[in-house]
Amino acid sequence: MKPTGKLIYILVILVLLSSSVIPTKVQAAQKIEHDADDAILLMAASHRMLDSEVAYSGVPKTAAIFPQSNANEVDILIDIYSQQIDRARQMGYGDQLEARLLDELEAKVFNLQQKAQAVEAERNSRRRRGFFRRFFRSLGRGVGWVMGKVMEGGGKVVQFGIEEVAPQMIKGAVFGGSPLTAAAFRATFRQMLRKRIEEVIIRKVENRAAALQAESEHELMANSDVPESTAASSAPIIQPTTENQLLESAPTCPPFEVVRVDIRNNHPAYPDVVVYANSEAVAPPTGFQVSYSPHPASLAVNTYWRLLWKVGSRVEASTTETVTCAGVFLVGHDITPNEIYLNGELISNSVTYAQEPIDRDPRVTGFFYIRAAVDPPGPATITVVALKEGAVPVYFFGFDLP
Amino acid sequence: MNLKRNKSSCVILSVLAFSFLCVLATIAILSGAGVFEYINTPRLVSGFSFATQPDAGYQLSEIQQGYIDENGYPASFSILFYQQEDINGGIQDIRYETWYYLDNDIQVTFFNGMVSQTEASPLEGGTTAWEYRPEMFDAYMSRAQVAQSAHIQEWLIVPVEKALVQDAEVYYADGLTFGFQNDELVFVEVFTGEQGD
Repeated sequence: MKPTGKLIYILVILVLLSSSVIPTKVQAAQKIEHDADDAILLMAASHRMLDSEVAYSGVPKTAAIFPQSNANEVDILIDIYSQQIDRARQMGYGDQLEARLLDELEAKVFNLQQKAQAVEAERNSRRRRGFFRRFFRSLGRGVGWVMGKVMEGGGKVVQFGIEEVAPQMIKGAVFGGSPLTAAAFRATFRQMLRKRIEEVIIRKVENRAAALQAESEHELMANSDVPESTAASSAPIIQPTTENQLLESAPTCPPFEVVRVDIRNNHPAYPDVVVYANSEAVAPPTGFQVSYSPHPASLAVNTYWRLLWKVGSRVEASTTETVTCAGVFLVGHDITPNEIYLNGELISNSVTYAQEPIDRDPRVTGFFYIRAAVDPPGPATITVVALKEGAVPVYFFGFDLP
Repeated sequence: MNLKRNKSSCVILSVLAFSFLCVLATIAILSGAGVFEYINTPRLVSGFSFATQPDAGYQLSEIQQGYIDENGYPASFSILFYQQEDINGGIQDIRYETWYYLDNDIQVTFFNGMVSQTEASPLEGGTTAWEYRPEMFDAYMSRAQVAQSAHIQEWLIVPVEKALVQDAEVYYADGLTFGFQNDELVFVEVFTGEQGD
């Protein structure tokens, strides 16, 4: 065999070997292509350009979303991520998880600080004028009409220097030349944008914490023979103990169980009695009652659901019939912290997320049925209480008869 | 003699070819620099027309439709499109939107079509009614799709610093602003407020 042929042969063998050696998990690793931070920075950039005029008009700096007068968009993220470091310390994630999360957050803040400096450097460089800058700018304008035909859908193009795009001009594009009132504008900045950014980042960090938690649980499981516990735990994310059992109507009611249900194509096989949380729309069966906090602490939604919004808002179903099992069906991408009581006894305080899309359809989400045995069989009251402002979407309550 | 003549012809041809290549290279460099300058320069574009796009848009969730049936379309809204990690290490597409109703004083936030929060709207005062609807905008639409879906005739494009977000531009049009990264829609915001100050 020729030396070149031999080399190619060896290379092919090496490639084949390495592909079989790489763990499947690594090969399947997915990458986030659209990061929330980028979308936020773009939105903040659009606001920054609109904000400038308000800042000049004597509005106190505290009224703007940007912490300092010379701050840029990245500073908002730095500010919010820094807050998340403090928040992570208070969340009680456990030493190991907290350390990993803090490491990641601190690295994130460091990278953002570098980014902020790079943005300022780029802006300063753009502001500089010089012969070459002017020359290329003229050239750029020269190609504008060609680009208009090629890149801009054949449109007419008018170009401006960065310094010419004053907030008034941007507002002209958005509001037809009429500025917003200062009051509405400040409200937009202070209350809307910042709050939204915070919410998105909090979700992102919580999700990361959940992913880290799941990762460490998997590692733990892989390294031990201890079976998965079925009891309610204080972990922030609960791992459903069984899946789809509701479809098959599990014959006996365990002392406590959380079931994740896949209802893409099947409606879950109901317990013996179903009591919808939105009792205004669907009256409960005889012998069963539903009570709930008044609007707006709880809100009837759609045909069956009731959403609990406020801290302490609750919905409960009760019966004087003899039942052996009672449960509640929670639905949603994001179930905020809640407590579930059976006959006044706390049975669950850990179903805070259903953040697992069953498939890629974002509207199909996790569905959790939490149930517990009524022991001894008898009348039962099952109650869901919201612990945090947010949304606890309650679909229905279920009861099994003897 | 002939050899000498051939040699000088070769030299002339080489010089000509070299000069031609130099001119081409200069044109290419200048055009490249011009294009670079162009795409980094804010520009107002009007009268564009893109080839007809396949129907794009978002299907509202039942809950969102319920809000519209009850309260009408929101006066103002903002939508962020992004991806986030789920607890299994997979990737989840997120549509995070906030609708503002001024008459009813409601602000409602949806997370992939599910209500995540409701509260009193921070906006006050009169409204500027736009014809934009949340379902006109879907994740990662192209700008041609946005123009078609939202019936936009003119926009101001402001490129964003590369150090801030790579390959990104912010667009301003009548009553709204939106942003593209790698030519894919990542946010949209419809404003409202009292006109005149």
